[in-house]
Amino acid sequence: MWHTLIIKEIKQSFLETSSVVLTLLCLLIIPLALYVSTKDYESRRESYLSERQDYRSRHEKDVGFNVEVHGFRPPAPLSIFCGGVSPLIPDEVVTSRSGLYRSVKETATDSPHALLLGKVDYTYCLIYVVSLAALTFTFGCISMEKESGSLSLVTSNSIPRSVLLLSKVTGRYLAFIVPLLLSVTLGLVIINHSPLISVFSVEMMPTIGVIVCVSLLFVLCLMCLGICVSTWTHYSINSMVVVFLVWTVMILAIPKLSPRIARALYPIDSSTTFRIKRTMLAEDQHDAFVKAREALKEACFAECGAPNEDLLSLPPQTEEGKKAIELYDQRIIPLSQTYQNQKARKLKQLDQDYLNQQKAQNRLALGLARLSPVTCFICTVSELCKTGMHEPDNFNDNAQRFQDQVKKAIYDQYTLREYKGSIMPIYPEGFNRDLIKVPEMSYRYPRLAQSLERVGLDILLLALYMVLFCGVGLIKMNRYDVR
Amino acid sequence: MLKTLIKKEMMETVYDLRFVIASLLFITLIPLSMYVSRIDYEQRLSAYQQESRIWRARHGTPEWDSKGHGFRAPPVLSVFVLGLDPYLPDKVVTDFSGVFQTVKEPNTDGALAVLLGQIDFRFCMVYVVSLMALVFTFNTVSGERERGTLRLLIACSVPRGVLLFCKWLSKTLVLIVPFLVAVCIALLVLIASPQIDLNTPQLVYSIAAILGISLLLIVCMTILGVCISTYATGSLQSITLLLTTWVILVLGIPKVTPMIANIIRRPECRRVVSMRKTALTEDLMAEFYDRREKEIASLYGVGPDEYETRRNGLMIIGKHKLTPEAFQALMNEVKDHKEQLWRQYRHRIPRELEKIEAQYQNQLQATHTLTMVLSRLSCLSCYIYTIADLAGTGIHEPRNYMDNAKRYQDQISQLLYNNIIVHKRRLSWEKGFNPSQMPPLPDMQYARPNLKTIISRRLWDVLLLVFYSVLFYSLAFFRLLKYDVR
Repeated sequence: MWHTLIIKEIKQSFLETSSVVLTLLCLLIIPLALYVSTKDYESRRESYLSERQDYRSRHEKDVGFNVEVHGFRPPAPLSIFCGGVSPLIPDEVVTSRSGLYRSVKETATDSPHALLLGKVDYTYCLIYVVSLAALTFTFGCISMEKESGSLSLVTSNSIPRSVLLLSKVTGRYLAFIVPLLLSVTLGLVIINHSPLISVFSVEMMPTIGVIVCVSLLFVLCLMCLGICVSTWTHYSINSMVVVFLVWTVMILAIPKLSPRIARALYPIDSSTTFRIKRTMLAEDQHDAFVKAREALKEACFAECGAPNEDLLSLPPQTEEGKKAIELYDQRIIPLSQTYQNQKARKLKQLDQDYLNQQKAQNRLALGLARLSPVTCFICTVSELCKTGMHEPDNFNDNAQRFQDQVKKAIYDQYTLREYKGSIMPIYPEGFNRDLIKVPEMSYRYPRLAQSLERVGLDILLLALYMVLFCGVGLIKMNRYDVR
Repeated sequence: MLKTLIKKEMMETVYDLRFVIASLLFITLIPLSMYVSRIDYEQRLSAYQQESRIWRARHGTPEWDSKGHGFRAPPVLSVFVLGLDPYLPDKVVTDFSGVFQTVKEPNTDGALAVLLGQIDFRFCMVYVVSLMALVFTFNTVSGERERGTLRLLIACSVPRGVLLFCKWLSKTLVLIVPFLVAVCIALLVLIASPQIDLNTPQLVYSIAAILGISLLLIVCMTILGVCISTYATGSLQSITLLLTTWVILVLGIPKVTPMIANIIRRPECRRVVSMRKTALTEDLMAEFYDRREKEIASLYGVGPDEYETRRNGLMIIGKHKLTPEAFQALMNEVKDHKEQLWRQYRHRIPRELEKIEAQYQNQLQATHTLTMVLSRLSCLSCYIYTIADLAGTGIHEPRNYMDNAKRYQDQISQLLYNNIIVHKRRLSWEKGFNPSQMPPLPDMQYARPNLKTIISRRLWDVLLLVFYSVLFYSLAFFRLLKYDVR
């Protein structure tokens, strides 16, 4: 019986016009989206390589006292599937002697049309196209049968209603995923054609497999929703209208309004305000250091009995002045170190406080947004594609690691003496500048296991939503009066 | 008869569940999206004012290495269309070399909003209102055909053109009412903001233009819905066809065409061009220092690191032994030569950079033209281009920003940089220039195109919207004329 019902649903689905249209839509849009995303990735990768090469050719030997080493972030290969937050992630890290790195984001108005009209990728297709198609596929499952009168005939055949409902879900789902899987396979073949990406490699295949499985779970969840709505209405037109309302609310409204609601409920300083505070703190610390340095200079000159004129001339003319300079050179190093450490500590504290506030706000926003299964899906796929909410933290970790690497390789090799506006390096004995190499940033992305750990809750939620919609549909179905 | 038909259609539509759902959606989403956009705008405006004020308080006084910072205020009408505003630079930083930099601070503030998408008036129109317009009209003709009432109507000797017109008009009027109510509430939300002043004529006309174009889009989409309804045999077929059309028009064409145009005509990346410009500036500055040293050494016999010493009442520098007066005269000649050379390079550097920029802009222009042509196959693209330009966040805004940045650079150069002379390790002021008498560095006066310019730019898009409406209506009319009642 189970077998018969499923076959019947599958046959019915394939004979409908919507099935043909859906197949064509999937076979057209998904491979096309993957193709254009692949080309976009190739272009970004090319500019990353070109920029890096350009920089290395000009600055490989540049280890001067005022050098700021640049590190570049490569685009994530799996960003083909989901662009995520990559438009916000900086492209470059610039290190400095003070221990604080700076991140640089180029303005990306190369293609204003793509920015204005929006970009399409695999995740976008699934959220807007496939979700709508899934709901359209299922909105009339029960309500149309009620309208035509065949549901009462079927239920009078002593078929358990749960079996009826589940066979509809299963049959429709199996009929729906055939064109979907075909189009995804075609898309993967197109991606694999690219010289820069190997889809079937050990690094990428497991992640892609997980993405496809999560997509299938998402589709199942939405189909359960469509059937659930269908059980609550008596006419297919009403079903369709309610399904559109639900789609608008779940896909469009909840995910997009949640961050704003969270901002209203838990307001924090904007990033501009935070940046201003940070800059002001850094400048105040610098001013304090300059004052302390000048005071130290005067103290050294007074201690050695050097005349005031030597304070103003460079180099000093008298023996006392030269002694004072040597004394100053000894004492400036610990003073400079103290102020640098103090500045770095205060700035790190400020950064950490702001980060904590941001995380709290994001947690609230995500909590609200997870009322829609779409948010769970987006968070999962973006995290797996290394373009999710944790990527800014990952960038900061990589940037800090690079800063520490450059500090060890270059900045700690010698100290600087600042005197009357001019800066001179003080090299240790046996120092050889030619032996210093400018390090290159090796950017690390989190492993699959780590990403799965982070998205476990979202995958569980998707499954829960599926069970919930099925359960509600079943309850309504059980209460259906055939008379 | 016309009046009766329209009244009948309107009553039928108002009593339908769709009207309730559409009203609910419009009256909830449109004012809500306007409210969140307003809060977002107020935050951005406040951040801009704070940054500008603090910078001016701490760095406004011109010094040797002064870099003018020009900040851009967010456009008021970005509450309607966020458009390219989040992607434009936050500030312009001028430089004495004549090369300004645009700075976009990394901002992970809105990471979740970027991940999940942003909502504004444009979003509501494109995704919600356009879809509701199709849902409203999908079974206008096919539903009646299915029920068998269409042949009865036609048998009453009602001209088919009149029938089609009444059906379309009534659906459109009923849909427009909740839309206008929602828009009125949204405008009230906007007016309630203490930081938004809508009393300027330019703003009022722009808002009126945005609303006018939005109504034109609704008309276009309802005609499309009626058109497809005439081609389908039943409601289910209608809705399937309409959804497919909607997906192609809203999601397919506008989003895929820019990427296809980039594949066909791929321009260089902005980052690579910036790197090339930086490299060129460094090379030219190195050339300037090198040439200056060589010329001074060959013309005046003074090496780059040579200092004068005094012995027996004479000044000794390089091969020269001169009296103090002759030495002073020589030093003045050397200084004049250096200043002249610097003036040459101060004009040459921006000129060379402009050549690179012009080349890059030509490449971009070819890609942009192709994108515009392809994307205009969808009426939604025409709509988006038009309202984004009216809101000051459209595709011409990056270009406008660069023009403003250049103007600001020229302004600061005239006030300050043209009076600086570059030496090897220091800078000096031009003769007669006193920096302490200079007022604080001015702020960037950001100019936006007026309404007339915008309308002339976007006339084609508006005409295309009208054209699409006429085309869909004609197709529907011819299809209905061919309908066989038997």
